[in-house]
Amino acid sequence: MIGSYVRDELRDYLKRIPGLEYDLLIDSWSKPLPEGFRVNTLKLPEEYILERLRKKNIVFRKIPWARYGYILEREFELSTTVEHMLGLIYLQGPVSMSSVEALDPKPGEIILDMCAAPGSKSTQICQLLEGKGVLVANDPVIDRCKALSSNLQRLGVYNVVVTTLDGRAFPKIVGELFDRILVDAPCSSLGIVSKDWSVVRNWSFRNVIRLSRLQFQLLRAAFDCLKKGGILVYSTCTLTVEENELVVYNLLRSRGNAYIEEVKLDGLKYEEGLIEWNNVKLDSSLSKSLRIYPYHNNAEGFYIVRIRKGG
Amino acid sequence: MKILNISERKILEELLYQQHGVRETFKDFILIMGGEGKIRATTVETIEVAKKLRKVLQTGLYVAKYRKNKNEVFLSIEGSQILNNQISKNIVELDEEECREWMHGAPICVSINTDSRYIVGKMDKIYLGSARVSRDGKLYPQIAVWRRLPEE
Repeated sequence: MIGSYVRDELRDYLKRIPGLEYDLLIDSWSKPLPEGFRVNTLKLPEEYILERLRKKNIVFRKIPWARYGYILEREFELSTTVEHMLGLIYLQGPVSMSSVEALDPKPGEIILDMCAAPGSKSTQICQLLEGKGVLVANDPVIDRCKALSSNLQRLGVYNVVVTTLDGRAFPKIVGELFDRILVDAPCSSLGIVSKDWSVVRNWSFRNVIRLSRLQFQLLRAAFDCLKKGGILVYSTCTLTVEENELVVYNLLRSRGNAYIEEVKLDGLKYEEGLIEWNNVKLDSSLSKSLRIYPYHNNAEGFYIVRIRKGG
Repeated sequence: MKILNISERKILEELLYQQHGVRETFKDFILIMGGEGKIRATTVETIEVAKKLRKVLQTGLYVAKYRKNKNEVFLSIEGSQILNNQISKNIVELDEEECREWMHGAPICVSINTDSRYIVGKMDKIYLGSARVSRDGKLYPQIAVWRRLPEE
C-alpha cells in the first residue's frame, strides 16, 4: 500500500543505496512502530517503577542497547497512565534511545543537546548525568521549546538550561565549553515513515540538499564548541547519504582533528556506514558509523556516528 | 534570573516548616524566583553555565509557588518529590483511585484535620504536589492543565 506513495525519484534513490533492501524497507514502513519507554530513575528506583507497571498488567521487555529502556509486548495506552503524567516513565522509540547511548554522558559533564525539542534525548542525557553536571537543551523554535520545557519538568530535571539559540551561533558565544554534544539534526525523516506517510509523499532531493547544508553547519558549529578530547554524536532519523555520511565527510575534510570512533550497542542490528557514494571514495573511517534501517530492529531507522575532537 | 537571597530563602524556609515540617528547604539547590512567584531549583554549576549563554528561556526545575500577598507557598509535584520524607505535616496518603482523581485535577473528598490552606498528596513513595484545602474540606490539587490525566 505505502509502496504506491513512493514516487519514482525516491524509489530510484533508495535502490541505489548499497546494502539497503528496498522491499524490506517498504514492508517495514507499512507496519506500526513498536512502543518503547524509558523508566526515569531521576524520580524513583527502576525496579519500583517497573513493579507498578507489572501490577497494571503491562507486559514489556528490556531493550538490550538502552539503559532503562523497554518495549511494550502487548498493546497498552501508556500515555494515559499516572506513571506517564508523573514522569516516572517517558515514551520514546527504542532506536531513538541509541543516540544518547552512543554519546554515553558521564555524571559531572557539561553537555549540549543542540536540537533538543521535544526533549526525549535531553531527558535521557539528564538521567545518565544523575543530577551531576549540566545540560544545555537548545532549540531555536520557541513553540517547540514548550514541549521541551514540559518534558524536562515532568521528568524532574534541575541541572538544565533551556536556550533558543540558532545552533550555529554556539561557538561564538561559548567557545570550547562542552564535554559532549548531541546533534540530532532536523532531517527528511525517512526512518520514521511508519509514523507519518506524508514524509514519503513530500520527499524531494532538493529538500535533502537544503537540509544537508544546514546539517553540516550545525555539525561544524557543534564540533567547534567541543572541548579538546570531547565527544560529539551526530544522528538523524533518515537514510539519505547526503544527510548522513556526506555531512560527516565534509566535517572530516574541514576539521583535521575530527576522528570517528566505534559505537558499541548491545543487540542493535545495523549496516556499516558507506565509504563510497556516486563513485566517489569517502573516508574509510565512515564505516564505523551506523546505518540502522527500520527492518533491522523492527523499529525506527537512524544514522549514528560518534566523533572525537583531537588535541 | 533572580536568585533568592538569604532573607528571601528564610521566608520560604519558615513557611515550609510551618506548613509541612520541612527542616532543610532545598538545601543543596540554588533557588531562582521567576514570574508569578514561581520558584525554580537548580545547581551552582548550572547557573555558571547559564551566565555564559544567551537567549536563555529557563533554568532549573519549578519546585514551588510563593504568593507574597497571602504569604503562602505550595509545592509542585517535583518540589514535593525532592523534599519527600522531609514533609511530615499536612500530608495525605491516597490510594490508586484517589491518586488518579488527583491527577485529573478534580476536587477530592478525604477526611483530614488541618488548619493549613495547603496539603501535600502522597501515594506510597510517590509525591503529588500540593492541593488547596477549601472551607468545605475538599482538596483542590494544584496540577497544571497540561499535566492532568485526560478525561476517560
